[in-house]
Amino acid sequence: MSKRSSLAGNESTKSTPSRVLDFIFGYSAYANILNVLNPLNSIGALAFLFFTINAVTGVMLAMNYTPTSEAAYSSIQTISMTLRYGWLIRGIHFYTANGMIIAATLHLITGYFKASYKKPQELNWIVGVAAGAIIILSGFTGYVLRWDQMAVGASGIGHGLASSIPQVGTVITNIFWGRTYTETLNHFYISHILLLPGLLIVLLAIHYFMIRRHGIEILLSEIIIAPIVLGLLFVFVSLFPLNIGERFDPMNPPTTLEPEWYFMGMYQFLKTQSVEPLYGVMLAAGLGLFIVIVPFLDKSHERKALRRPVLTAIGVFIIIEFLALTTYAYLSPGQIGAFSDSNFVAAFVITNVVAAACMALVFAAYRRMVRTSVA
Amino acid sequence: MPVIKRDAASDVPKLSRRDVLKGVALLGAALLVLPAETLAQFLLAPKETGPVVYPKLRIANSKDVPVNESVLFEYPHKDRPAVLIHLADGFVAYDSLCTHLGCQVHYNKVPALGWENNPQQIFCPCHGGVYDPATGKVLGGPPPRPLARIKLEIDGNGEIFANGFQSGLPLYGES
Repeated sequence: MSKRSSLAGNESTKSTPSRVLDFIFGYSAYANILNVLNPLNSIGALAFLFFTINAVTGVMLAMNYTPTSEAAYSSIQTISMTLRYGWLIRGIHFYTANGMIIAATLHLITGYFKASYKKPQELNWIVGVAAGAIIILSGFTGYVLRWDQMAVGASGIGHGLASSIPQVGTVITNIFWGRTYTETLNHFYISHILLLPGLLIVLLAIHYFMIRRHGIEILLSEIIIAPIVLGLLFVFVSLFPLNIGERFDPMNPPTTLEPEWYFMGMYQFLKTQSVEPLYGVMLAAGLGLFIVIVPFLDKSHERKALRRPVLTAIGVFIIIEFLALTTYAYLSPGQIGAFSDSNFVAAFVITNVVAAACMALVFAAYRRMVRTSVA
Repeated sequence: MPVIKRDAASDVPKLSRRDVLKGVALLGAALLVLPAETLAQFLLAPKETGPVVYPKLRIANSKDVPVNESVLFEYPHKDRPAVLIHLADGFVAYDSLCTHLGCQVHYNKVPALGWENNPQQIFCPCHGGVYDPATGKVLGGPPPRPLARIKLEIDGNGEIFANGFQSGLPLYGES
């Protein structure tokens, strides 16, 4: 991430083609190839690359998918087993979607600790958070389209969570859920292939051009990492081909139901004793709100993580809690998290001790740094 | 109100370009806002109209359901799962969407992890809710209210019919 530098040369003496190149790739691009190769700097570009691949494979899948509750599952079987390279296209779509969630999350985390949200990027930070929310919703609407046992369960839970919100809840459920399964599937399908990606493209365009305005190059890193990423995706899909879940059958419901990995933390929270669905919604909304207002909480010019110990400690705390909830969810499928259960209490205590210790470390490092810089 | 300037030489009123644009923009906005409610219908799923009538539906014959076994069916409409259970002292039936977050509950299926000791309860595979099969009341876990109980009628030939609800209305998710 470099500022516009004098290396870019004098604007007025440049030829038109080089101005075009400058506009697309960034003014100081040529001087910063090494910088671009640092994965921490290009993680946002990686997320965008995943989105591009995801959009292309998504169109190919949509051409062969049937959004009715009777035919959806069979059409995915056809895609995976009969169509040439269908398994590959579907695999790439799945892995890039998951990759997009991972890359966007890491992009958010590095942005948080490097204080990328500071002036003049406050607005762009919010645009990025909104794009992140849409990516998560796309993941959710996407896996419901599989219409296997897990998909229908997930759609039901989404309905329950949405309708737990007072006032607004019914509006949301009326938009996304129908009275029959096929109506619901249609609403999810249109959201997944039209509504959400449409919004996402607009937000990403704003995100990209605001970064460009502030002189940070991104497309160059795209071009450098694209062949590597595509190659890795091919290898990955071949080594870990996708399964097709169990066909949805209301007369033979599953004995345990779990969401995709990125919802496992929330899933564990919801199945904890005396946690109501609304608390889950409030937790997610609260976290989103916190991330949105961070630029306005932290208005100092300090960008080093250790020099902003409070926000850094909060960030560390959130990450540890999320990882712990996710891990515990995988360890206790279908079981209530109850304080009468010694395993649950142990996990709860360990998590919070570790989180408190890490936060204390952040403050200790801060104090040490202040002392040495004074001396 | 747009200021209308009159040319000294002509009686025809002149509108500035800005006034015309303003007018067009306002008209456009009005055309979009006025039918907003009608347009919103396109976003929303079609709603059921008229009073809710619960049909009488044959579920099974009592001879075909041994004690401690259950039969799954759809009631009161397609895609709405329900469960009929044969207990030692008769038949009961419930809407089988968990009142917590709407997963489909089970009776006496493969014992789930954590419930090995008591499979003869109704349990939810998602967040661990447990219900009493005799009454539909919550025995454990997060569900806030009992399962909706379906009224049953058994005729002389042992045919079991679902006919409306005995308790628990409005149904989960359909309030």
